[in-house]
Formats: sequence, structure tokens, C-alpha cells
Amino acid sequence: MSTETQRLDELAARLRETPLSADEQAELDALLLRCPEARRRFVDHMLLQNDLNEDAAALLSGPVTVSVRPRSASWLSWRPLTAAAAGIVFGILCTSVVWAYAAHEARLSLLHESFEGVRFGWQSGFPKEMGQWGGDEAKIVSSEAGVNPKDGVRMLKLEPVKTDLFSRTHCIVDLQKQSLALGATTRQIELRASFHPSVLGKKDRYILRAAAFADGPEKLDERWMKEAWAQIDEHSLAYAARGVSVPAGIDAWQTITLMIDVPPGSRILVISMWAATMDGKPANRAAHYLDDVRLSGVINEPLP
Amino acid sequence: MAERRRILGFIQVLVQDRAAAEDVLQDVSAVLWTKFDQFEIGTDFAAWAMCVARLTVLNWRRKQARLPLALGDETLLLLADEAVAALSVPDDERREALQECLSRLPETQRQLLRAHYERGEDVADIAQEAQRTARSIYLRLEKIHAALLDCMTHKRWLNAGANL
Repeated sequence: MSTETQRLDELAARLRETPLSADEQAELDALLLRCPEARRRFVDHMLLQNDLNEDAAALLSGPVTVSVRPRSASWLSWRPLTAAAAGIVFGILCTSVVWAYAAHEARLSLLHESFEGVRFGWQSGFPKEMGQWGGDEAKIVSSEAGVNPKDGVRMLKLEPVKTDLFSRTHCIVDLQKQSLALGATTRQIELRASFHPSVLGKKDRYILRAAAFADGPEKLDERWMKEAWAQIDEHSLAYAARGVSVPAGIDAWQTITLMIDVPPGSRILVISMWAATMDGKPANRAAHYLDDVRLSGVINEPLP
Repeated sequence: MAERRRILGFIQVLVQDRAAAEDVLQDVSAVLWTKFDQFEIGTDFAAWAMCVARLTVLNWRRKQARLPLALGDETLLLLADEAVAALSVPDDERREALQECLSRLPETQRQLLRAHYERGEDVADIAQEAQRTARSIYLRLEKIHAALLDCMTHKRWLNAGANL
């Protein structure tokens, strides 16, 4: 960091809390006038201040990175096996719920969709019922244009939308069917999905969104998960979003993960997957493939 | 909401005071409403609104007996150009970058931000509650802001690299 930027940081910090003295104001004015880097930094300071003042609650409850701590005590290394065994029993008792174990964290599978079976029902437009998938134009395909499914032998092809940069697909998950969400405490849920572009020449962008609601699908307004996402905090109990930009020419599946804390009282979780070719001209936008969508409950303390 | 946030951000850069920015935003909204027939549908609404906001801020400055920060007109116009460039990044993208940078902060720093911005506690209140000096809280906030800006600058740099 340059000396000028450092001084700019000091003055911006003072300005946040108290009015600057006349000398300090003159110094800041001169600094901003002569130094483009200082101007950029000052603008960033003001915009950050504005974002935090406007929306600190939502911003600070955003995506959280999950860290996996190595177990220190040797007996603890048996825990995954114990939990896995218990999970098999649990899975037998409840066929929709399966335990899995990855590294040092337990995952309770709430949903796994790789677009294979006849179970998969697609609704054109936003889904209306529990468990339903829907969204913009899409179809199930097998290997195509040199792209093989990430999981199984089929994948969902999201066609480009003429009137919008993004193609979106959504699913309404019934949380009350899932034992994980029936507790009295907030539960952590992980959404994971993989995307692949059909054409490699452009930069792509993928976004995952999830929101928990107290009411059923009948009271859901689809705009909240699309163009009115900025108002989601007024309507949902919890929400989270994560976006990733992928440079042109990357011929690989991109797996994106989103964590959301789902509070007690949540009845449904709506998940949305967005894909876009970053090109202003609709004619240049390509289809994207979506596969291996997983929704899991995160268990930090599996079993004693 | 996103457009409001962008326009308010632009005004905040130029007036450097939250309450004043809210006042100016009201004036800008009134002007946008009366001049809406001049807006070309299909063009960038926020860009048009920022042009209106730039003029509104200049008028507002002339009427103030005392400004929150007495910057020269030339400096102000340079800042306005810089703000337009910064705000040309999609709002979603900026917010997601900020959320990710916030999520990387240690929990104690996130708590400090919550106290200051979410609950509106000032530095003196936080210091009293934490049994620290106001100066130490102030320095911690300065450090957090700098860390967030460095993180976001780094992300912007990575994105720019991806566009090459």
C-alpha cells in the first residue's frame, strides 16, 4: 500500500467519525486532486460505508466459509465411522434421508438431483408445488457438444433466454418432510450444483440463491427469486447467494457451494440456479448444463 | 432496491454524509419523477439517474452554509467520474464480493461491524461495553475497513484479469 493510500485511509476513517479540521480537509482535497489511486480508494470507502449503513444485517449474514478443523484426539477419528453406521440405520428407517460422511463433517442428504429418472418433473415457468422443479426453458439431455454429465448419464440443459442475461431454474424443497429442519435451533444447509457452458468462447457467470420461507408455495411470489431478489429480506426468514465468474475457454464442470442458516419455523426452502454467458448481445448467449444438484444438512457434532 | 443503493452510493461519494445523502436522494427522486419522459427506455436507468444526481449535488452544495467536507469543484467532478466507473459493476456482483470478504473476517470483527452498523452503536458506546478505549475501537474499525477494501480490490483485480 502506498503512503498516499495509507494517509487516505486515515483521513477517511476520521471522516467517518468526526468532521475533519480545515487543514485535514485541505490535505484531503489536494490528495484527491493529484492522485487517481487515492480517488479510487476514497470512492471505495464511501461505497463501503453506504453498503454497510444500508444493509449491514443482510451483508453480514451472507455466505459463510465453512472451515474444517482437523481432529486432534485420536479417539475422535472413530466418530465418522460411528456416525456413518448410525446413518445407515437412519437411512433404512427413512428412505428420503441418507447420511454421508465427508472429511470431518457429516452431511445429511436432503436432495440429490442429477436429472436421470422418470421422477424428475419439469414445470415450464416457476414451480408451483413442493418438490417441483421449474424455470426458464430447459430440457434433459445426455452427452452433448463434447460435454459429459457430471453425475450419471443425463444433465439439464438451460437454454439461453432472449430477454434476460440469465437462464434460471428453481426447486421448492419441503423442509417439514426433512427431519433436519424440524428442530428448535437454526440449522445449516449446504446447496451444491455444477455448471458447464455449451460454448467455451465467452466468460460465464453462475449464481446460486436460496431462501427459506415460513409459508407454503401458494404464498410465494416468484419475483422474489428473480428480479425482486433485492427485497427478499422483507419476505423470507433467511436467504443467501453466491456467484462465480468463469473465464472464457475453461472446459470443466464448475461446482459452486452455498451455505444458508435455516431458522426454526421454516416451511420451505427455494433454491435457484442461474447461468449466464456474459455477453450483451442475446444472439451470442449460449446454453449451459446443470448437473449434480445436492442439498445437504451440515452436522457439526455427529454423535457422541 | 439495487438502483436506489447505487444512486445513494453515488451521492454518498459526493456529499460524504449519510443524512445529507438521504436528503439529496429525495431531491434527485423528485427530479427523476418530473423528468422521466426524458429517460430513454432500454438505456441504463442508474447512469441517467447519476447524471441527474451530479447536477443536484452541485446545486445542493451551493445552498449549504457549511459542507460536511469542503472539497473543490474540480475534485468533486473527478470523484463523480470515479464513482460512475466503480458503480458500473453490477450491484449483485459488488454485493457478493463484499459478502464474501465479510465472511472472511474473524467473528470478533464481524461482531464489531454488527454493533456499529446494524445496531447503530457509536464508537464510544462500543468501547464502554467492551471496556476498551474509544481509540482502540476506532483503530480496529479502521483496520477492518482497510482489510475489506483490500479484499474487494483484490477480487476486482481477479475479475478484471478474467476479462482479458
